[in-house]
Amino acid sequence: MLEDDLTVTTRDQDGVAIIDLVGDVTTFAEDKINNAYREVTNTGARFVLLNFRQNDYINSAGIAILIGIVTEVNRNNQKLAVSGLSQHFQKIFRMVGLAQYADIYQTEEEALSGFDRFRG
Amino acid sequence: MSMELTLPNQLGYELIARDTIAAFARRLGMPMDRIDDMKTALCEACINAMEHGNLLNPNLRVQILCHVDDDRFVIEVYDQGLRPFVPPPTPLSIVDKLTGMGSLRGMGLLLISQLSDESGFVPRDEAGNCFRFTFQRSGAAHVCR
Amino acid sequence: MAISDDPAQEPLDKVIELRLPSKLGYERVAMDTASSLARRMGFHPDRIESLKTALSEAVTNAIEHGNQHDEAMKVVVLLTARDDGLVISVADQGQKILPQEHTTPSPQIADVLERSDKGGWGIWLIRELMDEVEFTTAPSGGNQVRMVIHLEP
Repeated sequence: MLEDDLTVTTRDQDGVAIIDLVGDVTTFAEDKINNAYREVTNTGARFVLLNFRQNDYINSAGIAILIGIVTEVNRNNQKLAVSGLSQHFQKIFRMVGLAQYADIYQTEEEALSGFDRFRG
Repeated sequence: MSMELTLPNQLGYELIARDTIAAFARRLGMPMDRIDDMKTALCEACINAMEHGNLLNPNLRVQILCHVDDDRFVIEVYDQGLRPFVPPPTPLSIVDKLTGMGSLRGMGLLLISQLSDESGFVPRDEAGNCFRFTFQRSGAAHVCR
Repeated sequence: MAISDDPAQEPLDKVIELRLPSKLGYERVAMDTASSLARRMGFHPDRIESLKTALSEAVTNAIEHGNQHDEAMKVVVLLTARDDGLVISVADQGQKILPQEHTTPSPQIADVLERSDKGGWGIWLIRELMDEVEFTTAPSGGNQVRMVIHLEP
């Protein structure tokens, strides 16, 4: 019971595929996150935003899932950004090196305008 | 599913236990209002164990056991029983207490009995008191308590 | 400052002992307990977040590796509030012993991206986030990690 502490939904905003992650990102998140990524990729998304909310628990298993997404994003020539992380998890993402592969923004709005420099 | 927590016999540590039990109950999908009941009841039970069972001796311990099955969430609080619990000949109601009969101590037990579905001391062979209180896991039937 | 190797030698009157089922998700109980204690000890919220992350990694390691997801096996977490910090030890029942060479990993994301297994960050994170970290064998024979987070004056 309650292994399901994460809600994942997808939406499109100005040509950016936003994957909203509300809740915990741990080993139980794997299928949900991978399915959401596959779904937006199958519809041709070039820009992908992982938008975190109320994520007071992300662990190393969750980080491994996100690194898996980075691998796919690189393979599919997409651009990846991350928003909504708490200060603590922004720090963890930088420590791990995820910031080299995904721009980290405070808010969704900042992330959306951040993608503009890739449009041409 | 079970969990065990042992605390120093010092007032204040019951607040840590309260957060432990709440996290455990959330994992098990207990409704929020029942978790609030559980937190208050646990604090009262710990304070009783520290003050009355262990007589505030800082070298003693308070142990909390939680067993959970499909139907019930059971919490047991053990002290090392410097003083065994002696039940009053007739339990006093809140009205009795407010009119000055008996001491206001023991309010904790009254509160726990109101908040939980079942509560009481469990007879033991060894020294020390065991106070057990339980919550049904089908929370819907108890929302009006 | 002399620090004992054995957390059991911490003065008992200050130790909180938590025994959890070996089921993923229940590390949250340890995290909330430690966070509650650390908050009352006066740790800064950032440090409490670091502590929660490190502890979650230690407990999930114990559940997944040391106790092989056997729910009946317990993960034992000892928390000791000291004047100068919080000492936490996490022990499992040692169904699988952690080799010493696995206790000092230094994963690089560029390498990890090339591997099929993207994991291996847990112990590295613990070492990055805590002030003192030591891997030993528990009195029960299982794996034990002892972590200290200092309380800055």
